[in-house]
Amino acid sequence: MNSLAPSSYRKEECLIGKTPLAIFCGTGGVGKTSLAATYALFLVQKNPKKKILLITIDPSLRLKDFFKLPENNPTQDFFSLSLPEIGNFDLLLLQPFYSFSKISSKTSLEKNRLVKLLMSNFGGMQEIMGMIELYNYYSSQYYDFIILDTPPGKHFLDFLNSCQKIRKFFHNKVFDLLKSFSSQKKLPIWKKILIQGPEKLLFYLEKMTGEGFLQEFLETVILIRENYQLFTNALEMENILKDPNKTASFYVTSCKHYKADDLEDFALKSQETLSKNSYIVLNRQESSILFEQTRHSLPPLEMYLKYIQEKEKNISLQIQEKFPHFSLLCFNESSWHEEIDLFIKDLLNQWKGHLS
Amino acid sequence: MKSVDTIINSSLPLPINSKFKVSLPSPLPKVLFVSGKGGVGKTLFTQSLGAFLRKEYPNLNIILSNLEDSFFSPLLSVQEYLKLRLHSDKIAQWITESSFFNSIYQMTPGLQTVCCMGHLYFQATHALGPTIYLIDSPSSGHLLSLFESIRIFTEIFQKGILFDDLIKMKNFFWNSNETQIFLLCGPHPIIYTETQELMASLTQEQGLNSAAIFWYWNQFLTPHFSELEESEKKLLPPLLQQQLETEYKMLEKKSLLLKRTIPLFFSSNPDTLIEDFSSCFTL
Repeated sequence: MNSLAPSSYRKEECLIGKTPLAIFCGTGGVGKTSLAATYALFLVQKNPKKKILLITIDPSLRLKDFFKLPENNPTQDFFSLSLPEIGNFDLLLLQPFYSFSKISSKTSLEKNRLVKLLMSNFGGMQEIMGMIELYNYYSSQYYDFIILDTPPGKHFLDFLNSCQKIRKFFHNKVFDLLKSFSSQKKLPIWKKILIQGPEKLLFYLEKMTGEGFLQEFLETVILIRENYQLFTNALEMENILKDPNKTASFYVTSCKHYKADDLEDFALKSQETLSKNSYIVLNRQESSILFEQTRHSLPPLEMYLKYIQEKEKNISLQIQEKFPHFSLLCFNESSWHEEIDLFIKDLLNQWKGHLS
Repeated sequence: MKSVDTIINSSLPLPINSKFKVSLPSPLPKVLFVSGKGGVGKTLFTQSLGAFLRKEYPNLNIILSNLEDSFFSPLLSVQEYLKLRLHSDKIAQWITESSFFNSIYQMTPGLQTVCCMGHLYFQATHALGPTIYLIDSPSSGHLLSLFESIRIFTEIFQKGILFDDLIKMKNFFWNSNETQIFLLCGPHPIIYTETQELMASLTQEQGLNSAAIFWYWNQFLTPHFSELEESEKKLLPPLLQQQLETEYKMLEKKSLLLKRTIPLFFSSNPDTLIEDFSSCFTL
């Protein structure tokens, strides 16, 4: 089916389908979510007795459409699904604040006003919460396979950067200083700092932020600091992501959306944060299907066919030339314009074609 | 800004069909966000629109940015802002260079976003002469986070100088004369659904005026095959027929908006790509 199966792809080295963790990265619109979901289904079908979890951190929650889930319960983020002819698996549609409440229920963090606001769904915390959730599910050892669909992000690398962000935040000596202030119980925190720090500075800061905010803010920071383990445990993920026996990662792109710059960024970042068990997936190839289906010659069709064939060939060659240390997997365009079940079936078959 | 030439790899041109012209709203706002689902062609669209406007309005100062390039160095901006408000260069510098501020800044994407928006607001309202800011903004969710950040921080502060300035920003970005949004929708049902959801979130959750939001239909194949008879269309490969049918359905719903349809377009020459694309715009 895949006329462009590249030479660098060697099946005997392939660890796909064997690692407990699989991560799908890439810019939007390339079919990342569909591929992550059908890869999960492939594992479900192949391993009927294993426990499998699919996580998406896409704020648009596209997987809801994919599995025809009801829209009516915005707070439900966890689903146990059973698909005919495929099998059973669990699905987590990550919503930062909801996840955070679950994780922090034993602390007073979830009641904090500032934390609540910053954790809202578009507050920008999806990536960090995604890493924390991933760690929690992984370390619980309940699941045999976890498949993660990362958000396209302000930049799709934000997710891979989240461990670094957590480390920076918590390994900061300023927090210890704040803590020492807070241990002098009688005075409000800002006043304690006022005694020791430049008075004018705090006066001005409070003028900027409004009265009472500094106190609330410092209390929040200290509260977060006291519950640092909620966050810093997730740093263990750094090692798991780098272990080729534990993590496979897929960078998904398509000929229509291919940007060499993005792929280069990914290649650089993946050396730092991901295992060597990394693949580039060139999705939504059209030319071989179009050629197969063409029965009649029409001028605009000729033009389009030539264009698309040359473009797909060039991109495939360019990827193999520029990124020889990655294996390349090619997937054909599959349209779900009419029937989503057919679409799922087709992608599932393409995974099988690659992996069995 | 990221270069668009790397998008193009074909030596075969797929020309713009000159019958399809994309019209722009008038008058133009001070800030224009171009958004949509990932991969719908925001970067090329924004750059080409910039090229078109430069030609049409030689006196208009056009600034292109994707909020991540050198135009936006929000930290420097924060320092400038604090300097202005606290009347002290030293204090401003002390705050922005402190490791405490930096780690909070790194850990809180919402804070970075609101600083970016603050910077944009300040630039747009203090521009010398007529100026338009064309923002090649991040995809769906993150366009929402731009507006959401202002809402969140207004709620966080509730009073004080920062609060007052956030309210000014709100008045600017929620005013359809000052700020407009172009939503690019691509030729796929998923993209269509997501664009509709984005539209709903912007108007219902964020409370933006729907008059400030314009849809553009990008990367459509229909224009290339528009000359074919219905009987000829039936001879096309099923994959293409299906694609054209899908596009047709999407366009039919908004038949009036055909003047905002842009054909899937590629130039054989990366150097003239933006110039070629910009020829599809009209006032």
